[in-house]
Amino acid sequence: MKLSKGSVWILGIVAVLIILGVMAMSYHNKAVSMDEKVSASWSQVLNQYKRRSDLIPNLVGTVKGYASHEKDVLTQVTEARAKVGQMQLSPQMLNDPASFAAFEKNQGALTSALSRLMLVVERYPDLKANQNFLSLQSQLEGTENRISVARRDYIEVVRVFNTMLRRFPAKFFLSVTDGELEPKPTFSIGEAETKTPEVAF
Amino acid sequence: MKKFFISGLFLVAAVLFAAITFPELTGRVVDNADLLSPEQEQKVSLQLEALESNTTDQLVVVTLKSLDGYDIADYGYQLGRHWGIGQENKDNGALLIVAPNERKVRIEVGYGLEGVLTDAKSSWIIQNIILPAFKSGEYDAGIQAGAEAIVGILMDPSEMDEAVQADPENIESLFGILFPIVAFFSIFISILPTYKKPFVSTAISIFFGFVTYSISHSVPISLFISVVVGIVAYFGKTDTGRSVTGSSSTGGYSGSSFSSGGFSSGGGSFGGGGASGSW
Repeated sequence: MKLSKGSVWILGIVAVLIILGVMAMSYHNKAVSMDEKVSASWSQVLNQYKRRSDLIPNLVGTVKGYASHEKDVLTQVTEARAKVGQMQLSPQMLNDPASFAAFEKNQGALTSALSRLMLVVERYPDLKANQNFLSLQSQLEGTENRISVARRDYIEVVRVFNTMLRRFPAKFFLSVTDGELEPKPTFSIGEAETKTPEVAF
Repeated sequence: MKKFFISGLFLVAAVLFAAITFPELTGRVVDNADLLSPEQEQKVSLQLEALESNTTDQLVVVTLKSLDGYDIADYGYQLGRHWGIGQENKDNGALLIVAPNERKVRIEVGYGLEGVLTDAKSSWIIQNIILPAFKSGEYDAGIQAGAEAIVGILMDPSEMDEAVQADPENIESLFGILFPIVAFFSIFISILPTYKKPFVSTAISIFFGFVTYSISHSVPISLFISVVVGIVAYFGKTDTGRSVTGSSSTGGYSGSSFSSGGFSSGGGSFGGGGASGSW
């Protein structure tokens, strides 16, 4: 079987066009599903933070019963929670670096207020023996742990997504099919988390 | 060239799967720290098996020689995910992890069981059932009583309304799209009498460069493959050309589903629920 030179050229060009088309499609689809994955992990992060917020009134109420004169710490926790509660939480936050940073800051403030509270309660043996408090304490620990898992999952998904955006040839194909895609914001470890709060006894 | 291509694939696989080295899932009780006698192991295994056949929940008891410097909560959820304990779309797995050398114990709870085996309940079991025994050095008694308590909570019919969470969807792989193209190109090449056409060999070379890049994401490997294929396609005889295309479509993964002693993990996932304790 012998093909003419012209038809070989045409076959070749058609094949290359098909390949380019299929590759563009596959990168576009990958970007779409990665984007969805980022949103899903972000929702999970928000979920776990919300869970923590929901725990706080109960926790503060229980601690108040035993350590009512620790007003400062209790007020700090309540205020930090109120600040978090005022924020509009939505997946769109990911496209707004300012509100993402504000979210990080407020949640970080709540984290450190809570860890100060949990240190203060060490001084109250009665409180530490209270079943209700023990249960709340374990829930808070579990929730903090879930938050850190959700954050780590989010960081990993965003890392994969952002890496894909910057790599060639994905970058090239995506600029054709999706225009300029913005990299997703990611967490940095805030000072509040690296430092263990100190409480003078 | 074939060897190079394949070793490139292995390299990529090695990078993808490098993480903490986890112990092997050898059954429902993985007693690496040797805290249980074979009879006790057998007894606990039977309870765990009964739990799965009644509720499909999977509980695995694992004792570790070392946490490799990780926090037990950090280690726990990753081990649970690595093993895939729990049924795939229910995420109803749990682990009882004991690290005697670090003096740490943890109940790690999969997404789907968080509503039943709550943090508060897990913590209660650790503080009131497991730790008292551990403090007096009776690891075997503590583990057995702890596992029994967890099974008791999971089997309690009043707790059956468990919140089932869907798994995040899988990312579709490029392989599904690329292999048809490889097949198409193999046919395209095989109908050509010879490769001594500059354009055709360039196209083939570029194509293989792209394929290699999509799989390996490594520019040097892709360039190398691209150049070698181009040269082979231009100067080579039809036979060598064929063997080149033939070899490219033989790669691929085979999913490994683990099974031993009648136990196989279902592919459940974990999100950090549960409680830890130390003594």
